[in-house]
Amino acid sequence: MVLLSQMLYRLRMQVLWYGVGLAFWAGLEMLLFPSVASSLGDLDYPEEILNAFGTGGISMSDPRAFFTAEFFSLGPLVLGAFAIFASTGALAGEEGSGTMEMLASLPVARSSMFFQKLGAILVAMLGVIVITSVGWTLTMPFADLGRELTNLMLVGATLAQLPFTAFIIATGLFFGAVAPSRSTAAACTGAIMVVAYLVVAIASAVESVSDIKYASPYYYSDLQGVLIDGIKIEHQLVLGSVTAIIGLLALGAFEAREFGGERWQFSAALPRFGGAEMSHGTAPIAAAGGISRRRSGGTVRVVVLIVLLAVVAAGGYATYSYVSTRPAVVSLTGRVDASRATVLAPASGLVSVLAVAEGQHVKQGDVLAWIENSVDGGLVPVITASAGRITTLELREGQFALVGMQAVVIQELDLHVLLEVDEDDIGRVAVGQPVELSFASLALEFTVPVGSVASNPTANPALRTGQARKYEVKVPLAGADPRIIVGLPADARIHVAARP
Amino acid sequence: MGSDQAILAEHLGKQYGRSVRALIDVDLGVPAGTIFGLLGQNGAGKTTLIRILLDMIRPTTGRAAILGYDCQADGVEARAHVGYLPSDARFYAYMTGRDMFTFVAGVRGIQPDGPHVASLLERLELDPDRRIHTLSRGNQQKVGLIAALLSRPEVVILDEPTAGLDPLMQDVVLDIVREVAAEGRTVFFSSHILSEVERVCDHVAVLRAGQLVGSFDLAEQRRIAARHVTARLGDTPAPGAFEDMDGARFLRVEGGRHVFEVANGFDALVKRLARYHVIDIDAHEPTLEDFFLSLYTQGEAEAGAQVATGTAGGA
Repeated sequence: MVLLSQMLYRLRMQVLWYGVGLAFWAGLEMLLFPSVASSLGDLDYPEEILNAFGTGGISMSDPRAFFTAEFFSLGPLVLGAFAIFASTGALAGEEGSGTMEMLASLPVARSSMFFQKLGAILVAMLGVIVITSVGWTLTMPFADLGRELTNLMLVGATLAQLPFTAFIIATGLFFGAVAPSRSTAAACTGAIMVVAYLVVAIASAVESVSDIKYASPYYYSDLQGVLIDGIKIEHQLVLGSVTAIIGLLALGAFEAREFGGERWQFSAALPRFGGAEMSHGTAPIAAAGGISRRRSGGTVRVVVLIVLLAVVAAGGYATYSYVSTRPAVVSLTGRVDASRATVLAPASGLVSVLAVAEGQHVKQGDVLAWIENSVDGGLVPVITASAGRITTLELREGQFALVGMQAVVIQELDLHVLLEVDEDDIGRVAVGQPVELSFASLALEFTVPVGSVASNPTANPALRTGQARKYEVKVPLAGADPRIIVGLPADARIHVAARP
Repeated sequence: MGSDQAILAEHLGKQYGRSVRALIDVDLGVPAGTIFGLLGQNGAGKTTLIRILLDMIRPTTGRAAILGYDCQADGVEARAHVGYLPSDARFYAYMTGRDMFTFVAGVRGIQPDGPHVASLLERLELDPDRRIHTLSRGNQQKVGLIAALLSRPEVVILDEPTAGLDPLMQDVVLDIVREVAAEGRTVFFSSHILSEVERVCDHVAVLRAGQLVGSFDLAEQRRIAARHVTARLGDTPAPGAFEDMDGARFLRVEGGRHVFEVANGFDALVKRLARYHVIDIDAHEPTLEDFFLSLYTQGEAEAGAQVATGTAGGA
């Protein structure tokens, strides 16, 4: 633990300055927010810019969007810079300044040295985050953030930067163990951090390349839009696994590192990886005798490398397919509707008998009325071919009916929610997909399958060029709550990726 | 091989890439309790050898052990018995000398302020409360030396220990080296300064271009080594006048003096010289420089003749 505390002691001023700097920044944003919020609310930022900041199109007058864009979009880069400084300094820095020569001659295992340095950096990072959180907490009373944003959320979001900075630390330690010098290690780590960050920013702003974000560790940190979307545990697991793999590679590389040589040491990193710890026995070699070559052969190295790459690739692919096939949802609002059937008068003549009233339920084949045929005087029945409820009754007893006139309108029993799906989404909607329906007025929610999907867009004479065409999708409500009546609005979420 | 060897190297080789061979098949044994000098010019492989002993780099062939502990497989255990002073010792600049001793003692799990530390501070005239970055190179070297001796290690490895010190302090350091050995501990130090190696070492090994070209017991060498005798003669002997002498050999005439090499007793040479008028005669003990130069020139000649095998010295 001597190395840990010594490293921590050396980092103390950096912790203080980074922490105080970030705390001041946080405090400044907090104090600025009330005045900025009122003026920014009216501004229309381009959606791409808001997306790139991860605010997801929410107005900047919302404190969550404001702090996400103004602090949490750049904060990780500042903490990342500290992570690069500390992690490349821990191993490569000692080598560059010549102190590693003395350190390595002491009876400390390389792995112990590695973990003590790592521990010190993580504690230092936590220190920076704590000081930053103090900045939030102290300035909180001066800004009215409303109910959407609490101090706990700000502190939580600040803490949520730790996994990403841990990734940077692992990367910095890795490059510190394989690169010729600290500056090279810092440059490589910095490049990886900036690329990871930019990939997500570009993917958010440019829809056509939005899938590239899955390749960036920054995406899995959930820091983009952290105050709005929160963090997802599966993302953190992905980032944590990647960090752990890089950390193990860094440990292996550091175990194999040959001090004092200004050259890349990638190849040396692999053979000792995994087997290095086991060789730290304490039996004197006098008993072993003979000459032993401890290193694995070239073939073993290649096999280890291939297996490792295969594991990483398989893990990456599995993660990608998991993330990319998560059930996507099309959300829209529709109305309850039902089909209408019109019964026409079969003959001209006086309506002699009216057998039904408006609102009455009828079955298929029921006789609705009798007409006395003016040609031959015979009685002709008016029969319905549909079942349902009579909504309109045009016939009156004793009235003269003309053949072919609309006699009765029947609302059929196929009660359904009618949704008008955008042309962009209709290709993903299929019969049988589950639809979550919610009737706000009835406090009713249930899931039913899609019943039918129109193959032609709805006719809309008002449609202008560039406007999306709509397609009708019907979600049957057979046997649903009797309080559901035609015309009720309903919110629907169609799970379009689910297999029907 | 055996427990009496404090440091042992067997077929030790280090190759960088496909072509650079920093160390070639070195066999070396350092007897416990001796002062062992490792001689060689810059780039001869002295530091490479020491770095392998401390597991800072790994050998491509062979192995090395300290007190029986493999320097690679049991590196931590081996280093627990070793104090090391790097050739260009650098320490955390913000620390004072005393901080440094506390740090090293903390890592080793010992007390930083034994009586031997106070004694060393006094003899080396070092102020332990000054920050290291304010110290001169020589004084930083002293901090390193004390740090190396802090745990009273059984094996002390010093890489160019007197570099940067004034002659007075060099003497103090060499005295300290002798005292360490007098306590039965082993000192292994590298140098390219012949005179200091000659003054303190019991054993010497010479490295040239990564190969061990000689390893010998210095006192023994002095005893058995050929001495050079030169004589100025008043008359000119006939050619072949100095052939067939028992234990002595005529080498050449140099500056009007006849040069002889005497390996085994002066008697034959003196009796043969007595036949002539001898104006003066001069004999001197061989210096380490003589060994060193002969080993080096010999090695270079071999290298020039594409002789691939190294002159492996054994203990």
